[in-house]
Amino acid sequence: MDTSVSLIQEKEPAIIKIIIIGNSGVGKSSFMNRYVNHRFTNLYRATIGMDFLSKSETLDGESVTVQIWDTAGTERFQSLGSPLYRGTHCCMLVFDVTSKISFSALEQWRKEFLIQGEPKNPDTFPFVVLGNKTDLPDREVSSRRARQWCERFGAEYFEGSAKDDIDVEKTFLRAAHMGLQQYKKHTLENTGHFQITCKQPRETGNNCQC
Amino acid sequence: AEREDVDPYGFERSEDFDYSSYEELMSVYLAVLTRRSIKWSKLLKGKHRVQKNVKYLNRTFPDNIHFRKSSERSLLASLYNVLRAYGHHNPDVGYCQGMNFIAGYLLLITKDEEKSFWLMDALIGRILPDYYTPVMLGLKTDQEVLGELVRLKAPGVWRTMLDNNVLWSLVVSRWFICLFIDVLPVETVLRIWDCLFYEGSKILFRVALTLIHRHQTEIQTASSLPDVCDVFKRMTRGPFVDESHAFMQRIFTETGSLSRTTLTKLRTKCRAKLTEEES
Repeated sequence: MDTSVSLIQEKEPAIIKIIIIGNSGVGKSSFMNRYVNHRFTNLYRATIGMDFLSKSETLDGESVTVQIWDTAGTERFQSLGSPLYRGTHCCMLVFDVTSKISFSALEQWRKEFLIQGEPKNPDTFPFVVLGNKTDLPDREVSSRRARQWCERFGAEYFEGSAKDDIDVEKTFLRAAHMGLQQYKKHTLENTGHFQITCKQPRETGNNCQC
Repeated sequence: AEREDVDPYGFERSEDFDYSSYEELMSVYLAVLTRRSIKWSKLLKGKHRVQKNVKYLNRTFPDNIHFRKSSERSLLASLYNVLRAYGHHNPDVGYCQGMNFIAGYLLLITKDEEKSFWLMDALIGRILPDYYTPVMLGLKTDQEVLGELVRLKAPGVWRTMLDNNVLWSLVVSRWFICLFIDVLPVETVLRIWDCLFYEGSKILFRVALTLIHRHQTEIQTASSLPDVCDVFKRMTRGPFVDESHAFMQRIFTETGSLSRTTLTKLRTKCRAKLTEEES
């Protein structure tokens, strides 16, 4: 992207890219849809591939576009989604408070994000950790335990319920805030909002006989 | 009572019908049938680590009355059986999300677990490249192949994708993984599948290319990654894809010839490139 384009775009609202990752079934799509569309349904199908939704927000008097990327939690699809980690401004790690397994998996998700997303500031990159499904009775992960884990790398912890609409907005607004700070610090200098680059240089030479 | 002079199809046997050689023939066939049925019952039994992956099946078609726990003759148990059996049968693939949609459609049509299983084996084991193995190389390859075909058949679209940094996997991975389930209307999907079983995986490219070619102007006017993605979402809806009969005719005319040789060459080329990149 040439610099003249990015100069014009500076007048446009900044695009804050938030990526949501975590195990299958923890409620990533539900949480995103609750925030963007104010809806909840039990009818979500498992996410295949990836999707994103955008929402306009005003943060500290500044209008921004929050672009939320929803990924599939299935292990096998990780390699399809990980090229999209690049250029992220805030990473939201989601687990299900009624599933210990989904909580312990966050360590791996975080590592994977740092490897694939290649943020310039891996030590200070903003992470938001979210415990979803607090509406359910059989809780397996306590707030205390989750908070302790977050402290280890400076993530902010939130918990709530997409189903009962508890603290969904709050979580996303905080993520957007943190993303905006990251954007100002680390993205403006890079020109362009999207740092998703094609891994493979598509050569133009015609070496194909078909 | 069964009449011995009438065959299982209802035809009356001639007086000189050779019962003994028929018996012999049937005994061979019966052995085949028995083997198959033993295989099937074995596949249904036994534990396998696939089981832990076959979860959240109730998220397959939550909006379909046959796939609810509460429905009288819920297909959820059958879905579980087919997927578990397939995991035993093909441990290299095991279970991968997306296969639940495929098994689900097969069950809706055949209403039979064993038939669904064998049809699934035909699709995954024979017709499609390795879309569902852990590294999904076949899928990644085909996404790139589609890119190459778009470059040949709709170069403007290819340019737009490149300019906006849209990876093909972002817009088409669902098309390939779900074989257009939940992407296109049911009727259209089933028509596509008829061709898929009959003509092979080439059909998937014909469908994808038709959708892209038909909407090339819209794609080319998109000026950002989100815009491009929106066009890709929009183009799988509306009368063009609803009118399944016309659509199926279009897939053979819209983008001209697509030879098996071309496809094989592109697959080899893209696969080699991906393998090189990943090593």
